[in-house]
Amino acid sequence: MSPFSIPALVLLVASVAAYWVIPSITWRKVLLIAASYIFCGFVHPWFGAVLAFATLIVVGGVRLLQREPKRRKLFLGLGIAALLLPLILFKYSGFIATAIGQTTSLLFGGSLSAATLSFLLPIGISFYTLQGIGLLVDAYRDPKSARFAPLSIVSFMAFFPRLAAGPIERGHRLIPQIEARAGWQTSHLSHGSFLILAGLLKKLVVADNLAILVDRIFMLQHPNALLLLLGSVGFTLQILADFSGYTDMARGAARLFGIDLVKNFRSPYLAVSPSDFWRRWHISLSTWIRDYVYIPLGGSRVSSKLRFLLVMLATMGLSGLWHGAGWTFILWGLYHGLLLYGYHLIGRGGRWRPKGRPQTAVAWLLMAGFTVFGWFLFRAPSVSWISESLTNLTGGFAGDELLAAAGYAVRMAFFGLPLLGLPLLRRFFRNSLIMKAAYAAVAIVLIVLFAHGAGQDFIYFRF
Amino acid sequence: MSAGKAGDDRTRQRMAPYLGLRVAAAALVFFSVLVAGTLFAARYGARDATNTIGERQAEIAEAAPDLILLGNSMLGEAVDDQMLGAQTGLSIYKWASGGSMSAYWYIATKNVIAAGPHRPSWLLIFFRDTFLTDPEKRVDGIYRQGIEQWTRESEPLLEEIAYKSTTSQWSRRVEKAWPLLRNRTMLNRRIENTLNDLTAVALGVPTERLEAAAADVFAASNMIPEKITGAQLAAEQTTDRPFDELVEESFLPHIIRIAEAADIRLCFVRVKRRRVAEGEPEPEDVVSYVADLRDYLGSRDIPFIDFTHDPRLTIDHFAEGDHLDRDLGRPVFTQLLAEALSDAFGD
Repeated sequence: MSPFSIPALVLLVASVAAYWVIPSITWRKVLLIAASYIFCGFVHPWFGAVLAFATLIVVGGVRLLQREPKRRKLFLGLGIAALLLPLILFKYSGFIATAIGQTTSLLFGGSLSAATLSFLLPIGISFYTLQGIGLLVDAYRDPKSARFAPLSIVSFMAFFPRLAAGPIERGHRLIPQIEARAGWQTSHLSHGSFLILAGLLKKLVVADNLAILVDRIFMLQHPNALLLLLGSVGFTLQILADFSGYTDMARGAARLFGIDLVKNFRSPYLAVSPSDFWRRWHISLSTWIRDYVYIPLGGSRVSSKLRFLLVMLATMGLSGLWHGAGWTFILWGLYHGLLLYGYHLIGRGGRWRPKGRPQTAVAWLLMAGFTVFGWFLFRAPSVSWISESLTNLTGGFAGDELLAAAGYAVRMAFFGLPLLGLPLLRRFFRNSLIMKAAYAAVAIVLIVLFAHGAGQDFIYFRF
Repeated sequence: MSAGKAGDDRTRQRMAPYLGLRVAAAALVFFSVLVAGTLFAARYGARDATNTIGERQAEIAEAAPDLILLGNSMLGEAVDDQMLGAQTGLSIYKWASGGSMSAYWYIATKNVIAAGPHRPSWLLIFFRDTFLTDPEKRVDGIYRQGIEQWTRESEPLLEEIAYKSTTSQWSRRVEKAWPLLRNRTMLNRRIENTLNDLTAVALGVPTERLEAAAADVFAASNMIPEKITGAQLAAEQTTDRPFDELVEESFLPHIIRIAEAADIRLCFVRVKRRRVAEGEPEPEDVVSYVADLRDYLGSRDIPFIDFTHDPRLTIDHFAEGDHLDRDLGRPVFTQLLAEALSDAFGD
């Protein structure tokens, strides 16, 4: 079910209405679970079964970790393995088979068909798997912290506004909200619908229109330097609009239930260093990676530079792999690992901030360049394409190539412009109801004008 | 509590007595912006404000062709119109619109070609497999924009046949009532043209040069073959329904009717697909569909040229997907077409 479809809208409106009519918290949870499984089942009938399996592991795992403290290491290991199993099967089996096939073919001349191991990716599996692992680890670390009713855990795993692409919530943050006896407030409706509208604007007007231009550039066999730069900048804007647009919609939909989902973005392209970037970009994932991968691997307390580099590469490589079963994603993750390590090495890691405006401007410019190059690696069709493009790079600053690039640049700037709307509104007119109303009306006009009938999938739905 | 949040709360408390007034003012602003957007769309997006049909008709009248070739990028890549003109001795106008399908060809025939000041003697429509009778193929999203630049205010057949699955009765009613929605395609186009004009002015070149440069740089032949082939294959699955079932709910009878009424002779050209050139056998249902199509057109005295099994077109002539290579395939196909036309039209 697409979030833009009529059934999705009907499901949201009906479940919100029913939610506030039902006084019992237990029945509200049942309603949330039912709506979430209906959403899941609409996308594909058996996707709900995969979610149910993961949920069963988490509910059972949390219970066992609380009851059997002596064997909690074993239960944690088994729980994580069982949660990762469907993710590996559905998301990575094709990739692993291809990699094995290529290696076998290289060594022995044989081959293994990856096509036989290709599956449809269950919606949200990458997100709810991490959410489940997080809850299990929390229960392992402090069994008291995860004393939640099974029904609450089921709602936590399935909560449909964030099911498809996060944010990745923590049990101690979301479950108390699900369990709270909250009352209806008109601000739920006004804030929720405003966020949904802002998300729609980002996705349907900015991301989808930029995608048309960006896709064409990344389909070229031999793009020149100018087009490559343009495509990478375009994708930088597209992925922000796409993903933060979805997050706004998810947060808006959750707000209609009186639930406040975690903020996932804080102006990420204003970052002045890689650490700063990861405190602003996909915050729910980066904090998850920090708490459940980086710190357990010893990243926060290693003294050897080599060990620190290895931890950083492992952490960010995993983050890249989480985004997709492909070498370009791993490369993107490793690249960010190297960036974090490099900045750390020269004393610009952690909470470092440049002093003075010129230094801030230089640091920002440098980081913006690194970010754009990172998205180039991420969006590239293949690693061989990256290497061919970079080794055979020509300028493209004259003739037809310049004209084509100029036309694309103007259109990218035009469609990228609405991205500035919400930050400006928040910066200068935070409490102005009138400006919010004007923004909402302009958003509707732009959506009607520029949304395509056949919208593209959210990029993060693929992860 | 942060200082900012505390400040927000204080502002809210101070403004609380005026809440009703603020809401009313906000509602007024909201509806004013919507009305302004609607009026803008009604003024600048109306069909007569853009006149794309008139411009294309004038272009055709100026070229005064004997023959109009209508199709999508298959035609665009496969035919060299100047070479064809030289070989046949006819004046040719090539109208190849990337991604277009039968709904586009119908509307272009009805509103532009048949209704124009210059009507050609022949109209050749290029298609693949079953797409001639697949009226809902490529009618949404950016394809709808392509179609709607040639529509008139009311197009009941288009709505009934092409948009029946993609646009509900309810949304069609809203479209009719709300100019912002109704005129968005034309407005979109005007905005795109304005952006192109501004860029061209800034660079000191004519807009046409800018558009030609983009078409050249992003030509199908410059794309990664596997990507474009995969995308084409995914988007272009043929239907397995029989011809007799499809034809009556397609645009084909209407194209024939309109051409007859305008005294334009029709000819349909089926292009060869890559998979056939690679030696893959044609699906049974496509074979039987094409046989029925041939009979249908034959019974109406409409020539049908099918290059699918022409051995002179080999896999080496293809670039990517079903597109022919401009250097290797185009001259060969143009030559074959010239010969076929000579047979089909007689002397």
